[in-house]
Amino acid sequence: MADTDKVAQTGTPTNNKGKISTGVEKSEQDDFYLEEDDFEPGEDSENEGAERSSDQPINMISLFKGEELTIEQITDVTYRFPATKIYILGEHDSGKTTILATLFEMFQAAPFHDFHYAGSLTQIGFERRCFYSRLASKNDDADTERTKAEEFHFLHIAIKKSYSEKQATHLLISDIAGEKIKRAKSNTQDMEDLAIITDSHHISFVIDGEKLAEIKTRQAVLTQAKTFVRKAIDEKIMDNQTRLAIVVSKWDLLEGLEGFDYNLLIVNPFTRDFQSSLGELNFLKIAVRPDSFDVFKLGHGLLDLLNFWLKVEERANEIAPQQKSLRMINNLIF
Amino acid sequence: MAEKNISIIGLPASGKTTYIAALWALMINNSPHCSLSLHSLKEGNQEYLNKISEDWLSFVEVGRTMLAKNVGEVIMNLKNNATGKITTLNIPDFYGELFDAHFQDREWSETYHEQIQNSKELILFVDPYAQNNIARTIMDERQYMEEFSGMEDILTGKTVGKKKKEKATPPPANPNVYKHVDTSNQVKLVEILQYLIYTFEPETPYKIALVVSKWDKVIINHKNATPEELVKSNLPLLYQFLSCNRQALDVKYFGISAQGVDYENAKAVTEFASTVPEDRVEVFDGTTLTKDIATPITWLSE
Repeated sequence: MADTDKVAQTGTPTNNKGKISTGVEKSEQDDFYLEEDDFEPGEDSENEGAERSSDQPINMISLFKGEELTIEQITDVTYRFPATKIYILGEHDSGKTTILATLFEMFQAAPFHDFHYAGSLTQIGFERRCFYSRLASKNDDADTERTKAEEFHFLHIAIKKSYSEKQATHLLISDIAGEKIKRAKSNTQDMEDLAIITDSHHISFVIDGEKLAEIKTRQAVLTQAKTFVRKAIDEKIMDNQTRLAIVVSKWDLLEGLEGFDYNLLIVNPFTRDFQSSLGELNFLKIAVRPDSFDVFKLGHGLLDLLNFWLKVEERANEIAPQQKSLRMINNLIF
Repeated sequence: MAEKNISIIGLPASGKTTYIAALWALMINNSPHCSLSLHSLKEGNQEYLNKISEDWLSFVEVGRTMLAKNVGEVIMNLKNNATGKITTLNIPDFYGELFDAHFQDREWSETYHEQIQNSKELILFVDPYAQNNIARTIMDERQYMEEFSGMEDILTGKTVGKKKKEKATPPPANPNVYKHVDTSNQVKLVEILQYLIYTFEPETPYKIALVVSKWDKVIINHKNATPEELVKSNLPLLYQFLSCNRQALDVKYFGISAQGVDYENAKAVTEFASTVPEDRVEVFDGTTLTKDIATPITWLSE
């Protein structure tokens, strides 16, 4: 069978006795049997024996990759479905990736409140983020892998509010690399690169709660955020159509913190300075992975964020396909 | 000509082989409980089917004494005893590594494509207690970190001079790089089904008999559970996906105990050996308990 032949080509090679080998030689025998002694106690028989070989050429058919979608590839989704496009901005380590990773992890454990997982064309992309996000929780160097990409990439997720709902809601979410955001706030060329976000349904700017909690970095991180928003408005990247949410991450570090006044430091100045220039300005507090689960639960604030993103569902049809995709995932029928 | 073409799919170690071994053994023996009977063996590796069914009948771990390299695709032609309808049971891969490879390589062969294209009825096997059904989340990670306090040092190779806890074990090789093997079973199973939906855009829903294997073990701890409830709790992402996509996936849940007994329990094996083989099997569809091993196939062929 051709497909199992493919397994032999790409899988663990076998030696000419049919045993698993670490070399690259290919078995010349058509059939083989393993002796009982070849099994280790507790080894599962169903994991063995799929290595096969053939001299016949094998024609393979590509399937969708499951990785993040590039800006060109998102038409694979938007051609078929109304989709809500969301950009998550924020400087390095502010918690952008953690939001997406936690969302996918929550669905893996159970329906997320009223929301049910209806599928994703980018499950590998989600899995990568979950993996590196978990790794980062114990290794400070690990997060470079997940945030180094300079290109715009999107994760796709389809969700339903109830199983009987006819159509799923499709979200295309892009978390933009922190370095890009850092440069854009002081460089017109870099800000112009962000022109892509003008077609968004939502922009969520994440401010690192950990830096807000630290008195020495508080004003700097607030000023960075304000500078970015001001520059984005001046460069027409954000305008009176923009729905911007200021999302304070790691809220568990700020709740009840002496000397930290949320309204005074964040809500009031942002409202005063930017509300009139934007379509909507909202404020959210999240602690999706709190340091302790005693007070804050895993995913704290994520429901508010998700509900917020879904409020613009009625605008979804405004995203028109630019071109017809040729990929087989056009057949998607969520 | 067969009226239905049913494929058996599932990840490695999900219970497929044991089920097929028991099915073959009971077909050959014309089990009185069985709603189906063997019509003919069109092609495939009969030797392998015979061997695994002998293993099953002898209370030996199925497949342990023989691993054929070229088992290939196996086809069984089965006849419905009540209606006379012929159903083809197609087993693309006994071990499930094929489906793992599809997930990892993101491609499948033209041959497989043609086989699965003609199959609108599927039996999907899941092991309810597979260790990797649900991914480890950050909460698990915290717990893990508490237990393995030396993890940071192990990850960075700075274990010299540090005293590790007695229970600590080193993490897997190359722990800093994501590999497909790190993906949970339920994500892989969703992907297998998404492949089908996206690739073939069926005009009518796929009919899927989702079989929870090892049902005898399940009911020890969950006496009144149904197979659907177990999938809902043990493979929640898969359950949500199936429930959200009913227009494309018509699912019925079955719990099957095909092995019937723990082979390491000598006393229980002796007790079972004194009974007829067909009494070893139990199939539960959520309401009815039966000894008809072909129940999912019969439902799919309706």
